[in-house]
Amino acid sequence: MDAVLSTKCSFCQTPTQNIAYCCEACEILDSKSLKPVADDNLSFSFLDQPNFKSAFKMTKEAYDYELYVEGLHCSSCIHLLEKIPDFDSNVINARVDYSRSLLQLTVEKNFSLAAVAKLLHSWGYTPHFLERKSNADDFIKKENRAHLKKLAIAGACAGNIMLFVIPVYSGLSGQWATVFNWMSFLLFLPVLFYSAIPFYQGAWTSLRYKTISVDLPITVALLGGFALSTVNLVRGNGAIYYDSTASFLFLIMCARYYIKRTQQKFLSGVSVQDFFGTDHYVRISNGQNLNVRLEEIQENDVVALTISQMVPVDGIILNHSALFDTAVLNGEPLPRLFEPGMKILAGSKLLSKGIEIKACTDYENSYLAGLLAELKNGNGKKSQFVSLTDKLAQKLILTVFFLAIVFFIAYFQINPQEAFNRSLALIVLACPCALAFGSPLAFGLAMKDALKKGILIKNSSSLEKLLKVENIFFDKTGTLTDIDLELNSTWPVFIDEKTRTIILSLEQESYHPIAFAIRKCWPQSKRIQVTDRKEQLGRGVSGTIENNFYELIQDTNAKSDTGLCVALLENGKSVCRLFLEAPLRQEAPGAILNLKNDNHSCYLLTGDISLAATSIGYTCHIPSHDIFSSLKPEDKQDIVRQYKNTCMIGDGTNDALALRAADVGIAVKGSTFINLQAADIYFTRAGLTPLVELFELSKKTKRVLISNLTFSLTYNLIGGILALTGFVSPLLAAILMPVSSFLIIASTLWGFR
Amino acid sequence: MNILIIMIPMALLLGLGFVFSFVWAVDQGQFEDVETPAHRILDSNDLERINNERTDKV
Repeated sequence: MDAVLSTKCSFCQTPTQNIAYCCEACEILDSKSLKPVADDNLSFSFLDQPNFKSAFKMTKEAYDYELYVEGLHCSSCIHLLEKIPDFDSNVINARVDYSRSLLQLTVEKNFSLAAVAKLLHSWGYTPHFLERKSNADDFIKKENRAHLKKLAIAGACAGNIMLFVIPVYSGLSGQWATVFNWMSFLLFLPVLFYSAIPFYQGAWTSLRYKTISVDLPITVALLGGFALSTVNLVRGNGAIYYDSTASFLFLIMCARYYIKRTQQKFLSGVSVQDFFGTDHYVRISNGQNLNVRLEEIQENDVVALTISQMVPVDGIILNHSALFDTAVLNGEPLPRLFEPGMKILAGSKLLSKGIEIKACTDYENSYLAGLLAELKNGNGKKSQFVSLTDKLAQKLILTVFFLAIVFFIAYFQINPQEAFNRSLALIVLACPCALAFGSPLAFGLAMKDALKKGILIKNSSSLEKLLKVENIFFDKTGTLTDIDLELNSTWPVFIDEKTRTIILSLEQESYHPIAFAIRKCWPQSKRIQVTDRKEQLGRGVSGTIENNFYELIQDTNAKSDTGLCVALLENGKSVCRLFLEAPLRQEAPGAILNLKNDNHSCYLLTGDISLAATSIGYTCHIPSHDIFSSLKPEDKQDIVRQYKNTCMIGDGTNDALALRAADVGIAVKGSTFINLQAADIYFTRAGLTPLVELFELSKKTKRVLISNLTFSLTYNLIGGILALTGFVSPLLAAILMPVSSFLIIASTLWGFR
Repeated sequence: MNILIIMIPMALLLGLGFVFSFVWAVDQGQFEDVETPAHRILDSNDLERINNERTDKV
């Protein structure tokens, strides 16, 4: 999992785990020879059916098909994938989008999806064809482009305005000075009427919902600066602030674009991985088997499932009993036995041999789809979070406006003109610079830092919420412990080679987690012939080897505290016992101790029985009164809701509701798709080390924020006093505003160095 | 100073030209994926040789 990456790929130098090449692409490119296409049983032929082909065909894009390529990870992958046209003459062009692991294909008419899928599979990638893009993606794309254009125009105008004001500041006067000032006015118009539109929208929204966001002071400063400068320009006398206002706006837009792109990286990574991928299902109608897509399954259809396939819709089991892994739905690590006539929910995974089910719903109405929908538009939606920036902006803007009005009334008696000038100068100068782009920049940098460490943060406000977290809730299975079972101990302690071979041979064809654990622990490849091999669902396996009847069954009497026990019987007599459990992650106790030292309270929420939970809790320094066991997903949610400033960490779908309910929901690596939807933060590295790093990062961010705020508030105070006493000339404003901006940027970068 | 009457519009036109070329590039989608091109340039074209070998065999 999180092994030390000591060796490097001998071709592309990407760190890899003790093999010469990091992927097939490197091997192909380095050895300059093509490996023969592995001819395995995986058939992609269903992809060439018209119903699949038309579903994946893009209509609006410049390319025809788009694939999510699982396993794309280095430069060689890009080079090889973009050379697909050399291998398949029906492909005209192939382009890779590395950051999103996408491959876009332009193709000839008689192109075969199956051929490309097979080619990619032989190179060691898992291709997932994507369906037509949803409107959300188009919208994000359009918005990004619009933002970038507005930013470019603001930048160009701000730069040119500065060129025109330099001669004026250097002492130019007379006719040309007026011309230059009017040029600045003209150049300011695109900023005012085009680039600043998002700020007006933000300000309008905040007025309409009677909240104060940072957009409001920005808009006021922008409009105020423009009004004051234009009045003075027409009068031919007084301060002109076009240059400082335009450059200030440009800097804010840069910071915002940066933070937006960092956030989108998270979203695209999650949304692209469709839960069911390009899975296809076999529908049986009138005795004929037909490949169909998930959406095509209707109520009352009979669907044939093969081993290790996901159940597509809620259905009734028809022909015989079967084992299902329901971990996606309830986090239960061990499979459950379902009898014919029982209802199985969508999302469960079939572990025994193929069965037929009768669909009770279509996908849209299945339990899983319902859960997804609920999470998306959510009953469990979080309370509106007012960020620190917005709160401070609120206070600052009220103070500034109050001061400006008081000053205007008081000074009006002495000099009405000067009273107007100075109070407007105050509003323009006191605009909360650090609030407007210091904080977004700090969050953007923090998110980028996090990304490097394998922590994806969905929204910058989660970072702010993380600063306040007091109560941290952990899920047990898959979070504190590994998700896979491991062979823990045996009785007797040493099991000879022959017995091992017998056990491995019995479990040879089994998809049960126990079988996987045993295979992992005993890597030997020798097997012996088993006659009459039978998998007794829910009990174990049996078979005859060399005239002896063997049974490998779950031993409920000798069940250990934390795991389970399997016994091998030879002709009814016990030969040996194997104890298995999901091992605790090595770093878990350390990580929890670390968090506790930082005055966080840690809790354990689990669906398991209390005995297993207490033992884990003991090792992890969680006292028994902070352990809640035998919980249903709804219970977890209720417990989290009882506390304030919460953070939930989990992996299974049974944690999704709690993740949503917590102030900050964190999904660890290996989480289910639903969990990724519900979580605010997602670890792409296994284990709990990222959690400790995340909390350290949030502390660092806090330090930077505080130093930024202190600086900018002091600065605003001095600037305000200067403005009110009439010491601020346009030249001083033109110098002070960018200087303060650059100081803020410098101090933020220094804080994240 | 009268030269400014020509200089200023020319400077602005030049600036405008760059703004338009940037806007054009944005519309082309050149700023959507800024990561892949950096890798693409490292391509060593080794595959052409592989392909030649392959066609030789066939």
